Amino acid sequence: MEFHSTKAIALGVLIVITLILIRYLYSRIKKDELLKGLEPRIIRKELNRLYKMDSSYEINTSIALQKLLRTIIRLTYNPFLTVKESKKLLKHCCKAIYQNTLMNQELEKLSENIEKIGELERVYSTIYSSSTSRWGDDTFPTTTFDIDEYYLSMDYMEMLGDAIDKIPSPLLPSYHEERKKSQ
Amino acid sequence: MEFHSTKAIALGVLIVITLILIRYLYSRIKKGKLLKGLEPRIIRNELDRLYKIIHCYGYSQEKYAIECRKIETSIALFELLLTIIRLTYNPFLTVKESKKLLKHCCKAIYQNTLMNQRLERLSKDLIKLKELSCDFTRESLKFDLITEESRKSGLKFFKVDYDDIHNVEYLRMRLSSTISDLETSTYRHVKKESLKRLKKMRREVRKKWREAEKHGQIEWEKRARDAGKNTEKWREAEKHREIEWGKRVRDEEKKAEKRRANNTSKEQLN
Repeated sequence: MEFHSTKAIALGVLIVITLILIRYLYSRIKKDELLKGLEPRIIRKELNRLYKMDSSYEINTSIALQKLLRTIIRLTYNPFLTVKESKKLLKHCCKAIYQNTLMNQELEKLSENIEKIGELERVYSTIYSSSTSRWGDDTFPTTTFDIDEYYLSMDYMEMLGDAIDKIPSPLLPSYHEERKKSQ
Repeated sequence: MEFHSTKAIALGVLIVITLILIRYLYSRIKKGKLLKGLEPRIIRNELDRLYKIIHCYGYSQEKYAIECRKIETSIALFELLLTIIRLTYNPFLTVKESKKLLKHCCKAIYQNTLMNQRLERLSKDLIKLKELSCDFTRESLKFDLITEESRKSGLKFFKVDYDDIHNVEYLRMRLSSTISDLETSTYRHVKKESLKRLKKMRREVRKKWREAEKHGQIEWEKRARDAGKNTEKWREAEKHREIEWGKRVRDEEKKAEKRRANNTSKEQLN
């Protein structure tokens, strides 16, 4: 069977395009499975939630990571990106987001602890200052304490010291080394 | 001119392959420029350094909570960057797409680095706090004996020289200021205002954009240039003000010197 040359060339091109289309459909099915639970709507919601928050450094990192995930999801539908490659990209991105979330949780715990310490310190300071009064003159200044209130403030001071000790540390390896040396 | 059909089909396929090859070469050149400074060797070195840190400090046995998470996030991000760089050479990934991917990944790494730097500062503050708390407890324990004695003798008050309590007071103030600093640096909350501010900002940007579109890009550029000129003018004015201020200060100093000289001469005369 013989064809007209241009028709034959067009057929060749058509074969390639059909192959590409089949590949696209195949990857689309496979990638749909990959992207389950990663709907752009959910990510947009998460991004909106983050935008609403105060712009601190941990939120900036989370926003950047969510934006990256959105771009990766959009790219996943590229038919020439193999399923393996897309899987790798998504896996690494989700891992980074997961680690970042864990880090944010740790930070939240830390800020809660510091908040508690702040409250304790404020209580301690008020009791301590109410227990003291200045006497004498400029040449011989003395400080007088109410014993009961001073004891109460000491209790709070101990609680404060305990709370400070309980902060999850060491945070820095150098600090860990120093502590080991001192021990 | 007529071909044998199979030969013609092969030619069609060859044309498509050649087109793909041309596209590959074009994107390779463009992407080569994009990837300058992002050599996989550098990223692998950085990854090795991070793996070593985790290995050295045996994070699994001890509770290096934040430090450990910090390093693991960095590792995950660098691995992602390495994958993206490898993928960039895919000829079917357009230059625009690759640029977007790399931009977002690099931004995430940058934000993470900023976060790590701030965390390092935070941990230094925490170490300072622990040290301060130890010093403070040690110093305040010095008064235990006095308080015990006063209590035994049934007194309601006890007196201490201010010089003795001075050190404790100083430490207490430093402790409270360190705690309040830490509170401000770690505290985060949802702000309703920030959402409003964000919406307002977006509206303003859209408004500006529409205006720019109406008047054309030239008008917009003119405005930007004018704004630049205004800032320059402002800077010059500030410079002049500084000079003027310096003059005034010098004049005042001269006057004060004169006054002092007059006073001393008067005193000498007296």
